[in-house]
Amino acid sequence: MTALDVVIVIAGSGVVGVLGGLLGVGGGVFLVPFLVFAGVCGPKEAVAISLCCVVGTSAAASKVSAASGLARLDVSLSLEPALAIGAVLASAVLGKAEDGAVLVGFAALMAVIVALMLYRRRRGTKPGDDAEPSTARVVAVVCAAFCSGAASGFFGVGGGVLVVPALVIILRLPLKVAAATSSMCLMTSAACGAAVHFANGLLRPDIVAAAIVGVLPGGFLGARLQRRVPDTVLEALFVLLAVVVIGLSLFRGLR
Amino acid sequence: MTSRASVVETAVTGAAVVAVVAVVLMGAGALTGVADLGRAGLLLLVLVPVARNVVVVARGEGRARELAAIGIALVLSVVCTAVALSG
Repeated sequence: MTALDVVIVIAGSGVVGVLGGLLGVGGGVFLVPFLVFAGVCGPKEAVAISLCCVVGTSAAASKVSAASGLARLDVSLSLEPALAIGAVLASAVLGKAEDGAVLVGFAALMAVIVALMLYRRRRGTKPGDDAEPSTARVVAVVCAAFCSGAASGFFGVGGGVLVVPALVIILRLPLKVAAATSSMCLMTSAACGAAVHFANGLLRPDIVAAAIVGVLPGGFLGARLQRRVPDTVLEALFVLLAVVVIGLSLFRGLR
Repeated sequence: MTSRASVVETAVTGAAVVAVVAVVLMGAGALTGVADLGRAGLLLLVLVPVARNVVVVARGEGRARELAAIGIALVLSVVCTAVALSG
């Protein structure tokens, strides 16, 4: 990896971090396409590198969440085994998958994320209640956590875009509590997924370090900017970027 | 008596410190060309949740402690298997 490559990865990851923080979707959603389309590495390596970045950003975000007092450690620790098992299984499958299939799957995931984001914005969130959840709701949220972990392990995204709606809709946690809890519990699934990719030889420490150095400050900057940008602009920006990523992923994956 | 909020804050601070050390190790490995430093950094990075859960087990109470202990066992088993498979 040349010095120019390092600069490109740090700068690109910084922009990705700003976008992730600005749009509240984490960096992984845009980091994987950036690494692939900038020619830094292949799709599988990009997924593995992105998962390592999720560990770093989750550690930093947890610090902020804990300071705010919103994160629910008990909920986070309860969901982590399901998230981790999903991530490990999906990461193992990724090792055998074709690059094209990964990109087409990533495009499908982006479409789901856009749909979930727009649904959340349109529908809003109900006020949370602290009642003890029923067994059916616990089972449902554990299944959602497993699916989220699998998406995280296979596509290198944090999984917050799936965990947060599950915590809000199924466990009826307030949105801010769900977001803070999600930032805490994603660390474990990302770490387990990254460990499997480590075993498969997909991780390159130099790119991981450069990407984390770019994503972290970018994420903080994006989160600060978020308060100043109107929601409608953020929504339009996210849909635009998602359409570009879906188009490029499908083009490259199906070629 | 340690408050729950203080335990969470200490735990996530511990995790953040380990993450920083991991990134420094990976960077040092890349700059010096010592591949083992980079690998050590990567392994440390995947152990970040373990660092957090160790603090919860040491200073937390009740169900959170049990769940944190399960989390440690889970992550360590995955990481050890991964290291063994990577040769």
